[in-house]
Amino acid sequence: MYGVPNYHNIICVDALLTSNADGYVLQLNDNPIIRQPNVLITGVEIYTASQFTKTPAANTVITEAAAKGIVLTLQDDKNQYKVFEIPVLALNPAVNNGVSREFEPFRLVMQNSYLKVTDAAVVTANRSVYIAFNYIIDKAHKTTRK
Amino acid sequence: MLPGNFNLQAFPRIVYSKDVVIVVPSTAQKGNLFFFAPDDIFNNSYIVGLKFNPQELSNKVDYPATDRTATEDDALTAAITLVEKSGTQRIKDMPVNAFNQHATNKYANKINKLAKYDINIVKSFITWCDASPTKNLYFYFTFYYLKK
Repeated sequence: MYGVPNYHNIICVDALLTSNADGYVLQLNDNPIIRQPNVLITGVEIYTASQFTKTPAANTVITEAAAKGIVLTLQDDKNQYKVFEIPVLALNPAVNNGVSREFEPFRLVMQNSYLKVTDAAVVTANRSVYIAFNYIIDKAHKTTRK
Repeated sequence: MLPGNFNLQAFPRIVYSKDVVIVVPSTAQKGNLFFFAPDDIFNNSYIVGLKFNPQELSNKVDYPATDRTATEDDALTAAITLVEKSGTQRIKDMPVNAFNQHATNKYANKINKLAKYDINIVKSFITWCDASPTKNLYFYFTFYYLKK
């Protein structure tokens, strides 16, 4: 059924925007799970304060209005942009008829991926963008470690 | 086919389902974890779907010590983690409202399938992310499962 998410594994990332200046770029932090070579991202969802007000790290989550002033870029391990500056609100299932954004599985490089503020008027500093990554473990991946 | 890629054709088609609650006491504080109770059914099943039910039931007599069912607003500060028997966290800190299917309330409005989780129910929990004045309440979930 198109758009119905099939959650394989979910890891949520708490990205704290320390500034709301126009053009401010927040690189995503390295994540020890997503960094693994056999982890392939299959989908992403973003939640706003309409669904979730505080993160487990006690940061306040961005509002739906603020989500209209932020874009997300995801880059894979071949330095290709899998998603280039998609509006964050477009990734929120609650305002997109429940649709969860899905991808052909790819290896995500967090440090090359970023959030960018495009409208300082709607974004507040020190708010978190709460991103849920859906991923699979590629069991066919050959590791060199013994 | 990639591992764990299990699809139901038209979810929610109830294969088997079981309602489960987590009680959050009035003393809940930021960072507290609240675990599911033991349940033998999940020892011999794969979980294939999860639904958070904030509105279908106004009260559940099995839990007389609690005041009421958690609403969507109560769930704004709750995140759920599901852990497999292997110890792997299949879902880590996902907003509970992500499993809320109510279309009219702009909370999540979607159905969720899970890829055959062999979960350890007693190691799965809700994280309470904010100090809250809420009274005793319980989070009411429906797990969809397949027998092994």
